[in-house]
Amino acid sequence: MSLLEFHYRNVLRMLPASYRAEREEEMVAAYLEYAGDVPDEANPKPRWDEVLSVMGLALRVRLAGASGPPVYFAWGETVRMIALFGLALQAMVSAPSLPLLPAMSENEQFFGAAGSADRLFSIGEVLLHNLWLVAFVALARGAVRTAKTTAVLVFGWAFLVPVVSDWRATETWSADYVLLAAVPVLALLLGYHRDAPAPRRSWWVALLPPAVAAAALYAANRYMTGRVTAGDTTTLETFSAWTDVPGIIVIALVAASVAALALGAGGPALLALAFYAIVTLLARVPDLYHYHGGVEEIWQVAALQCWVLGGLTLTLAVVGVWRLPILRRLQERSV
Amino acid sequence: MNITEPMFLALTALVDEPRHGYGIVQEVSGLSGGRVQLKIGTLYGVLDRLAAEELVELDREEVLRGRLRRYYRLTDKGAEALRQEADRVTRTAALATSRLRARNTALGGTA
Repeated sequence: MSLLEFHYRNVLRMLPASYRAEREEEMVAAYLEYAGDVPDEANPKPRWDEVLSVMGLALRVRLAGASGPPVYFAWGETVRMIALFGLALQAMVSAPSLPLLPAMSENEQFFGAAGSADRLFSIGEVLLHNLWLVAFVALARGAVRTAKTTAVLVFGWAFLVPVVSDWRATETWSADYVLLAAVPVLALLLGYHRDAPAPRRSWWVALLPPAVAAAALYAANRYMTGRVTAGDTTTLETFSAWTDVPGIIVIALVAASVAALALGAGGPALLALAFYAIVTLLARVPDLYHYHGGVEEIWQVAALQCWVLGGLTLTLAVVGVWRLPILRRLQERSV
Repeated sequence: MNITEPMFLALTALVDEPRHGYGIVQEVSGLSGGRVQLKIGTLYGVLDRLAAEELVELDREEVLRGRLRRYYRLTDKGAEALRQEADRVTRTAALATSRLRARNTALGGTA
């Protein structure tokens, strides 16, 4: 075996074993003909563009579209569902800021004085954050390229720009929240490759989740503002624990999970929801320590949410694996 | 089914005779005037997709100097898909040509 063949076979190890068993010899032969005679003394290695092409192939095989093997199609669908649900959650977190924007912008302490550059910038930032909403609707409607561009833009704006520059250096994000935003972007970029089927959801499926979240949070906020204005702050902590980012996501996950289980959703959809349930659980658990012995109301809500998320994770994971098409086929074969 | 340029060129490369992997790479390069150089990973992604759609199929296997060569041939379904795509490209090109001709005439008329 020549040195070039040795290196190329190592590159091919990125492909699944089943794929290599079928294709490796043929690919090695084609590559060596393509590369021509290269002596070992020249220390030859596959070019980077050749390595990239195998990486792309490995990705498309492992996260296959409908024409791929069932097990890799199930993995691909799970990753694509993680992208879709993740963008939906981000859209549901950001969309409530739209109806609340007029009232929020009256607060000069946060938005700056009327007519100032600070105010314009703050309002622009709220609107820019709603690119999550654009990314989700675009993906749900099958405009994958628009969804990718928008999601990368809003993630870069919200997380990467502050990290690589001193600008907004005082603003910090918890690792869990960055994870909740980074995962759908990564899943979107990896899962929706050129062999993957684009989702074709109806307009109401695309618009309902963020619209419901926006309407519900707007109503809850107005109600709470009315109570606080009247001097009643007894439930303010409980309210805040249900309307921060993990709180909104817990409510959204419970609603989505109940609907998915009741409607008989497939394994990939349930596993994607289970994934977000466990990530949100990781984001909530530190609050149990943080508020222990402190604000009792917040601690009680955080504990309740952790129990709910734990139960959801377990239920969704078990039912999700059970409903995977590959398992169904194995069961049918064994009968 | 969306036929990309590498798929279109690979199908065209198989019209006259079955070819093996490297043979398709060479033919695609020749057909595109050297503009499209398929990498091996890309080629097998294209072949997987074409085979899944039953547009190409395995013709035969040969072992040459200890190396496996698999030859692929165009199926009837593949020939029909290629014909339809070629018609579509031809119609688009004719449209572009006629609009360019009209533009040149208009520019010549106002000059």
